[in-house]
Amino acid sequence: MNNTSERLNDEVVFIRKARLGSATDWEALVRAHQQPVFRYAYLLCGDADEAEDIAQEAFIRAYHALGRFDETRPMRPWLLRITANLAHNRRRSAARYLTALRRLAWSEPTPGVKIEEKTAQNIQKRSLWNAVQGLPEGDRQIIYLRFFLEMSVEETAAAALIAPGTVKSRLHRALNRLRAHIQKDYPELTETEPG
Amino acid sequence: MNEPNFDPLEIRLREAARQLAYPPTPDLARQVSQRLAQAAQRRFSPRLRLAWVALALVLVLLACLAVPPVRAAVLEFLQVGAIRIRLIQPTPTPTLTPMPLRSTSNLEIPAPVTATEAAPALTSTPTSLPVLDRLAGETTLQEAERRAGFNIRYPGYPEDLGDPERVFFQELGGPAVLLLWFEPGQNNQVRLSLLLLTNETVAYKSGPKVITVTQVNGEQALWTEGEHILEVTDPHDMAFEKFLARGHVLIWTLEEVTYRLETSLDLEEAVRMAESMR
Repeated sequence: MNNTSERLNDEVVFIRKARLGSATDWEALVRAHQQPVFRYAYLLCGDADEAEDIAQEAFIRAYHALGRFDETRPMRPWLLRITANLAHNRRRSAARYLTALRRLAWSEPTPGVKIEEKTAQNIQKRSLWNAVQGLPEGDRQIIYLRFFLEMSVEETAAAALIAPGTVKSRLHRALNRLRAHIQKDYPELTETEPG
Repeated sequence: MNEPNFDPLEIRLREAARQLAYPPTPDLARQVSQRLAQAAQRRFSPRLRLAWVALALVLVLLACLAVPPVRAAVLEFLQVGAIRIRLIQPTPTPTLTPMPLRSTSNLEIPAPVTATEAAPALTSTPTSLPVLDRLAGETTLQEAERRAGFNIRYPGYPEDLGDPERVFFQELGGPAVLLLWFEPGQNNQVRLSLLLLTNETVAYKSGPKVITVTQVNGEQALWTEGEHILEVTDPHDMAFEKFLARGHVLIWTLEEVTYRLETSLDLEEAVRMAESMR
């Protein structure tokens, strides 16, 4: 918690200087948040070039809206919200989107695992990913924020502009839908589900 | 994210997420800094300063009009319905600087092509519209009306106009509907575009070269000429979108809906169309 507070205090200093026109301080803020913003854009649009455009635009818009930003709150959820808005309106046709998503690749599993296990693990993860893709947009967004960007319930709430309690209920519903989707279309995942 | 209460599916999701091989994150910090620096340079360019002087002259003319609401609003912006036309440079300022379309606009309202002659017929020269492939929310007129929650009306003049050929619905703070008509048999030439907004949305227009106060059905309306940026926000200024628009534009309200007609026609013809809503 102390680390979070210190980081937030640092961020406030940068934000105040950036508001006064300090390009260096804004650049430092962008550098601190560029990876999650880019990755979120990539998850939402499925295309690296498009994600780069969206992320860049999100930071430009955030800069122009900096005067309206509530500096008592963390910046990342706000940036992710802008990113989601941009991605939502820039999404290409469903066919192109799905094609782009299919290009998503997985890194190698943990070293030391046997080849056949690696392959099985990769197939399962890919299947799980495909199952997530079959969910409605709202479900996917909440899952991306919570599990892919590893944000807390509070941060997810701020990014999605909903109450923390709503995050929990939406997440609960999204996971139930994911379970149902897995049982119906990806039974191999059900058979190997731990616990 | 140490979450002791995660169930097996959540644990598995987190593990799968950590295995996802994202593309390398580009150096956005440098790119963004460069763009902001370029925008700041353009902001102080002599050409833009000249444009502001021209705009100031328009302001003086407007102030001379004996229309009280206009005179009251002239301090910062002119407004008709959901659309405000900025008359002073906002701060921070670079948003008004036209920049390359791809980097500044997530959507471009397809502009009607420029008429080759000043006649009521919507004649045009060919233009390609790849931008339409990027427009989200294409739907039917009926579905757009259902989702928008208001009656969608469109011009009955000229008589050969017919129903809109493509319809888009988007949430831009509030419901937004875009109707498009094309040149007969040519799907790459927009004849007319009509954007419908409610007051849940606030749209700022920046940079038109000519602003004229006019009337549609006896109510105040605005006519603008010249390329401009249309910036749409929600009441909290959060869900903003930008459009680059190029055609002449007539803005008026009808039944609490703001209509924004983009056309290659002149003011008189545009008003005639606006007064023919069905």
